[in-house]
Amino acid sequence: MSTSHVSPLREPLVDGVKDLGQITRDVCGPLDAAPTAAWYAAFAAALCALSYGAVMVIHQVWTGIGTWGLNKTVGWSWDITNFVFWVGIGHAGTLISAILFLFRQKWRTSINRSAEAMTIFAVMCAGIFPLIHMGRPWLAYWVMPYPNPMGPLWVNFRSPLLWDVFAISTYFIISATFWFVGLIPDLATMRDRLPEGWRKKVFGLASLGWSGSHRTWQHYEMVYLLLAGLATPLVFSVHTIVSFDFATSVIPGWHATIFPPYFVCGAIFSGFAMVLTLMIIARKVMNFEGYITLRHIDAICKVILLTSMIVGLAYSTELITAYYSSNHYERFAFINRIKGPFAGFYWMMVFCNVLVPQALWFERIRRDVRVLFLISILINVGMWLERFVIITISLHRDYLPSSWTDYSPTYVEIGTYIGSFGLFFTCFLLFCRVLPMIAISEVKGVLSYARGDQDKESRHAH
Amino acid sequence: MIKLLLLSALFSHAAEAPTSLQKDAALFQAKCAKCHTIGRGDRVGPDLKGLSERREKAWITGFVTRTAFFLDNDAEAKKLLAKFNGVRMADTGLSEAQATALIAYIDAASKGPVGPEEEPEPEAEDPASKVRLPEEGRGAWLPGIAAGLVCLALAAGVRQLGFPLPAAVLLVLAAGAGYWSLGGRRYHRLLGDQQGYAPAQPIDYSHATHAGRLKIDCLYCHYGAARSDAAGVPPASVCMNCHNAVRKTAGAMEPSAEIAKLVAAWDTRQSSAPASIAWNRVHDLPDFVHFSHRVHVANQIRCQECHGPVQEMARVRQASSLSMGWCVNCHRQEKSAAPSHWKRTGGPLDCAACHW
Amino acid sequence: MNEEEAKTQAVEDAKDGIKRRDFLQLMTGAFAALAAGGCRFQKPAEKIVPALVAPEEGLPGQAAWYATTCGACPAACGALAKVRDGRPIKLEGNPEHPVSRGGLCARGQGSLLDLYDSQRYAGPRVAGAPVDWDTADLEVIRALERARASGKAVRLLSPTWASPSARAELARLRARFPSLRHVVYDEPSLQASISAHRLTHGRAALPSYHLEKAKAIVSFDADFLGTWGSPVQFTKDWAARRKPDVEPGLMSWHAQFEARMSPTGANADLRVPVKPSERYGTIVELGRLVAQKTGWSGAVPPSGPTSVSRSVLLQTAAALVAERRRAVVLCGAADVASHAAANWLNHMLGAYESIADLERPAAFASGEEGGFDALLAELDRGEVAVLIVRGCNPAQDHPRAADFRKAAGKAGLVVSLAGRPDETAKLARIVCPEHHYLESWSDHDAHGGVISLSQPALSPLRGTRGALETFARWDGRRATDYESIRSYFRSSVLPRQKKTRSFETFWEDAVRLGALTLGGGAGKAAFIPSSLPALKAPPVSAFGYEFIAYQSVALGDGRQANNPWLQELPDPITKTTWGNFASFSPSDAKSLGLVEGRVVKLEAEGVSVELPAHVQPGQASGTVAAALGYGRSGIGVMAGNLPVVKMLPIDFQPASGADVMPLSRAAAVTVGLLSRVERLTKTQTYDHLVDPLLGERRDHARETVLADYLLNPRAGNPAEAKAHSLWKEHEYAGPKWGMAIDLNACTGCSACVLSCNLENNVPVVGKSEIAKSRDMHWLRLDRYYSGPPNALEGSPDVSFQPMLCQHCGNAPCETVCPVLATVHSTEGLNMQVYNRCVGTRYCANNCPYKVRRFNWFDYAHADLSANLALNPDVTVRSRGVMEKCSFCVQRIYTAKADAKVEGRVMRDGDVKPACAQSCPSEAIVFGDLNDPKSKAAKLAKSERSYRVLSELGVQPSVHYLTKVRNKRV
Repeated sequence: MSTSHVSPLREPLVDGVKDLGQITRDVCGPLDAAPTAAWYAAFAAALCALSYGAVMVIHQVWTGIGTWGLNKTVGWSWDITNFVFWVGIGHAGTLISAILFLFRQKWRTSINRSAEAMTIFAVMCAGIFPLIHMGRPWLAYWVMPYPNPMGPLWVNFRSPLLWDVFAISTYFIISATFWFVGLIPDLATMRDRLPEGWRKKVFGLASLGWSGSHRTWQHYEMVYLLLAGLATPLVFSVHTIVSFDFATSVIPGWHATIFPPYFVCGAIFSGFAMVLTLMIIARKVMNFEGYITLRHIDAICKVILLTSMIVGLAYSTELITAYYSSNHYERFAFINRIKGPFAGFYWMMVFCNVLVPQALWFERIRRDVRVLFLISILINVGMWLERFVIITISLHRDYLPSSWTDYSPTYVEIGTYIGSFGLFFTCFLLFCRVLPMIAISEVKGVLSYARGDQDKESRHAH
Repeated sequence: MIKLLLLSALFSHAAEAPTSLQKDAALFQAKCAKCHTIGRGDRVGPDLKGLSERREKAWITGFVTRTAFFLDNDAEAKKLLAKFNGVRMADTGLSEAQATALIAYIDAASKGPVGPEEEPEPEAEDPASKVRLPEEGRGAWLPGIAAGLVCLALAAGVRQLGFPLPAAVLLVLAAGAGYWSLGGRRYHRLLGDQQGYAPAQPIDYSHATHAGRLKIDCLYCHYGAARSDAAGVPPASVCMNCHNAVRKTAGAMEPSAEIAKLVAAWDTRQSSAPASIAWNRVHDLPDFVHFSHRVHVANQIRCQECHGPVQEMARVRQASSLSMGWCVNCHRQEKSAAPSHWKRTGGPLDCAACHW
Repeated sequence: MNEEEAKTQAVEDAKDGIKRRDFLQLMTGAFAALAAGGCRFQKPAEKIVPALVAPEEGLPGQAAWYATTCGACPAACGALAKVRDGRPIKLEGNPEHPVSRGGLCARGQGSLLDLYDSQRYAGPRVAGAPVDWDTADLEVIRALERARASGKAVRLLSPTWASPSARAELARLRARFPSLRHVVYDEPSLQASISAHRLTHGRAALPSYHLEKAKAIVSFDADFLGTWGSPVQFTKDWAARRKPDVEPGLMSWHAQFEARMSPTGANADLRVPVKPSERYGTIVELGRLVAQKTGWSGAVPPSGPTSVSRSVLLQTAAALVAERRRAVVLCGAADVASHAAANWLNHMLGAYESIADLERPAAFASGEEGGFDALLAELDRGEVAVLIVRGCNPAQDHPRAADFRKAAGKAGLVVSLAGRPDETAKLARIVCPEHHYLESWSDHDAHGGVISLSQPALSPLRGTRGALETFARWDGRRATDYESIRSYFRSSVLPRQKKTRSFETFWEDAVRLGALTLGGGAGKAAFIPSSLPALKAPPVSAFGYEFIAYQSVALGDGRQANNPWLQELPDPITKTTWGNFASFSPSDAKSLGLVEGRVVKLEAEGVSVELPAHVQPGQASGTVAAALGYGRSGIGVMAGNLPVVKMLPIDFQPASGADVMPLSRAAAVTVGLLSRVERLTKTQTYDHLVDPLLGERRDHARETVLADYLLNPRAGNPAEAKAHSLWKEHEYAGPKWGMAIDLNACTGCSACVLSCNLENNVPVVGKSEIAKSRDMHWLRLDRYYSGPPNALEGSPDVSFQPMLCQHCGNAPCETVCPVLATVHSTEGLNMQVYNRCVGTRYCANNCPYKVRRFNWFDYAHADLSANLALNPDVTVRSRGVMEKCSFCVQRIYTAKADAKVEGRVMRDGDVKPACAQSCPSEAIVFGDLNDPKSKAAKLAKSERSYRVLSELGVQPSVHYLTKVRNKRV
């Protein structure tokens, strides 16, 4: 009668009794099988959205940004709102994969792969908007400092937009690398399972001749650890720099020192909401209930609850700062959010981002997938609204009353936004089909008997 | 080269600050030198040497200040007009005072050391020959680097496809060479760099002959350069000032076909549908760049510094890249203290200096 | 310059105008291709086509300036035409002109575009078919001969044609055709004034007013700063007494009694809303008070109804009497009685001895009431054999236009001299189109004792002919306008001056200066008190709303209705573009349940129009006001009431509105509400400095009252707090360009706005884009109402504030541009480099003044205005590029080049931006702030000077001078 090493307090990270092979089969199985009808349906929808967006973007680039609803006073609205929104979504991925890894949070293992994928696709979506929001996107390469025959003429290193360029590109590169490195062992697994053919070749190419020897594993762990260390600061830097776009300006409602932490928390908040949305779908569609357990979801909910309260704090701080500043413009900017023509959006934002998440105090809700799905959607909406409130409402009534204007989006703007979702889900669905959605190797690392209770297993066997 | 001559003569015995004489000289350049010489024979208008001996001052002043009126009404003026085959002197817009100053200057110059024998050989001490034209093709190495990177990337890719490394490298190099042989300087053309552009012209006019051998001052034909932002291509009437008489190229027996074209166009001037000589534009800046000839001339920038050795060109060629970097490199130069008549001064570096 | 040469030039330039754009397109196109992965790009081969014969004046690339006389309205201001390569590209005021002295109004400058109007007639037409001149002339002459034979009437119908040589020419023609008579009609108000003076002074004349002498001005509905009489001249004179810091006693006091809020009323120190029906009564009441104070013993006119409080009238009377001989009463009414009463006031106040000059009367209006009606009667009776119409459009621009259209058919022959199709020309059998005034010689004596000349600025673009030449031909002579005018000057003008005997010198001077001041004038005209008791108060209508049809600053009487520049010029008061509307007072709007844009139906005497409503603070309740000149579908695509055409990139939407001319004589109209709503296309949608939520006032447009100002020059203008910056300030070794704008002198006339548009190739974007708040104006006039946002009664104080790029020392836009497309110059300019701009719009977002304008579409190509009018010195901006006021940098560098070439240093005043040049009241002063002696620097240091939003530490270079109202309390 050997003693169990399983803590009675801790439920296992993976439900159901499994052996290593079964995990591999569970994860890779769907990839071998033909896609389900559900997948086809989802993919078709995503593709439609994507192509609609593409048409809108082409139309806009061909005829001009005038096809958007912007005007002389409101120079940014949906475009940059969507940009910040998507960048924010991206954050959860890096947080989960890098920071939780450094904190040795084992529960991350079954969701980190798809969370990272989400990050990369979100950053791709985000990257589109700064590009197409330019009046002359074909000259976008001018924001890159490169030697040229113009004198040479350099870029403006004082411009937050330029910082964005660097922040976002760095972020994308690091996340992509991190994700790929994490994939290598599983790619090798795929390679070994596949029959001869072009797919085996491709996976072979991608897995960089992974042999699975101890030394390989040793190096791998080290690289992964280092990359995690590299990625961690990015979680904070990227959205800090994005927030500088507004914080460094002179527009009341933008010009605020609170923005960096406020934005970072908001980003994590929205990011986790999006992870929640995706995981709830994924575990249903790919029937990974066993791997993405309610425990994972519960953990995500707790993070959401925390960040939601920080965001709420930020909102109230903004108001108090404005009031206390006794600066007319500052105070008007915020009273205008609360009572102005766009007040509805503001209160909807408060409802979605501050009130709704309070439901997560209750464990029953934290484990009710249907409700959680609804909540996660509401939070996504709310976080989009937050950026809209900050950008548009601050702009449309600034200093000189003579230039106050209204704003309403056109079908092109809306279409472009839908298109970005199309891109996101197209990529994500493809990812589900061609790559292991769950980090096989890592999950194997956290199996209950990997923690030393195989005798229990064997007893069952007999 | 009369301009250079006078200016050098002045600088030899003048201070830096513009003296009155210097101003008059400038005035003479601006208003008279186009058509008149002092002691170097008639041009479009009569040689002005010893002017005040020939005519009384009042008449000259009158004629200079109210030319049109004189040409219409004054007998003497009419005679002159007839003598110089009807080429009317344009209104000078000079004040009485300026006119008097000019007369004084002309007298001085008539006595002064001015004469054909003293005209220097421009080639001999032509500062343009000393001026190092800014080197061309700045940023031309950029495509080089780009190509290099592309080659590496391609090579790597091809290698992955399973080719042996040497084969991959060869393949890529071949492709690159092919592109280069086809493209040549196309990359520069892509950026609108027209350096070396030398289109054929409707009339095979040679600057080598006129500016080089005959040493006609650039400003004689391109008189706009001194007073206008645009140097301008001379109207046929300016050509006809000489070509009324000159119909043959040097040493040729029968009239030149090229000059005939000019004359043919000129003869239609009175007709209802006058012919036009459509020259092909060589130096062409984008419309968002504003270049002022008169400012550069006033700063005594030699024409050759931008246009190259035009006096040697049988057909005009764009000598400089005229790229922004090229302009700016010149504008960046410090003011040179040397009191030389071709001193190059640093220009403004504000964007708005050229981009309006 | 000789004609062929000019023609070729013009053609070349036409090519150039297009080439420029193609080039930009190619540039962008090529880069697009490059970005798309590289394809061959060759520069387009360009041709240089020099003239065969060198032009005598003007070099390619250099501008030549010609003194001429503006022909946009009868006021005939002196103008300078800037000619580049043979085509006029800009009109500016002629500082040498004795009357207008340098200003030029928006309409005057806009008239440049009419020159390039593609719809102008290419030559004479008979029954719509193009013919040659001889055919047309022959037919006219035949008709005239027949008329002479039969003794039937020949009528020339025109607005005031203040041209001495034209009168001479007509006299000759009349000598040959005795039955010819000249019928003149003008805008009603001035006609009434003339008739009134016949009544009260026995002289049918319009006095020329010298407002610079007036220390108290009381105006009844006379919009003399906007559209009444000679606005540029009046504005200049009026503004001369609005600068309190010149000397304390200088400031004049200006009261305006009017029904609708006019630009003049907006600038008045005291503004009292008065219904038209109470105007006469108010004038008489005021007259009686003044009579008491001045001891007037003569007859008094019968009184009429008025609801103006006695205290206000007493205050006004006191102010007037206190300034005897320096006080004047102006009247813009359409009824003779009011004018006569006003004349009585002026007589009592001694205005006729100083300010209102009847000895050298103004001639920009000479028509008398009844002339037109008489003509209609003649036409109806079929007595008119030949009707010649010149310079007017009676089939539209007269209240009885409908009758005219009917009657014109009964005339034997109708000949129109219209240069472009209009309602009358359509009725005419023969059209003998005359030149645009910039193409022709003409002379004007619109102002007493002054003759202005205009000379052609280019050779005629089309087969038109000068009016005088046309008349000469009909008289059987072959004399060009040039010859006629010269001969007139030789015979009649030369003897009247002493300067020189030689005609050539005299003529050259006259042409160069553009105007001559001659002495002379009729004797005094004595006042006839006995005329007063006979006056009859105008009838008061029992029903409905009193109707006011007024001339808008942008369109005036509507003769330029097809001019997109003017259509897009925001109305100074309402800030509305591209259409007219029916203004209601807030209280009426409340009682009717009207909101802005709700379409109302105005009906009177069987005529009805439909217009969107507009709620106008300060308008007299019980009145409706609508602008003339709109809603004309007959004269071109811009002018209006055509359906919106959906197209990419921009929907084409012409001006909206309705022609209210037929209603203009109706005393009152009934108002019916329709269910339709038409949004007004405004460039400013919030009207107050007080914000709607906190109710706090922002002090962007600072003001004080004279009394306080005299006690403390800094009144209403707290000194700027010392700015502390972490960064090193810019250092300006050379000049630091800056501007000072006097809010007290600015009348909101918007001449600067149009001047800026012309100078800087600011595109016209059209109604549909304005509706999206995408106006492109670099310089806008912010108009603010004082008082609470939704007051129902009373008249709010109005302040105008020209708002343009402030060229900040620490510009927020500069730091945020990622590609350095907007940077600071060594001379304090905030430079915008179009060809570097990638269009992130970050700069515009970060601009506290919101003066940056973005090319949302390819406006330059879609532009509704003519390419030929483009200024070749200013880049035409392509799509996706930010643009803004450049302080007319092209003028700065041209002035520098001039100085350089002339070997001198620059002087103060060498650089005059377009806005400053055209400002009739000299409210805008530009100069080097580093030069303590410069006018701008001095003003910038004055106690009235402040900088908008200076608390942001952005260090603007534009200084505003506090508005000082001369309120009496």
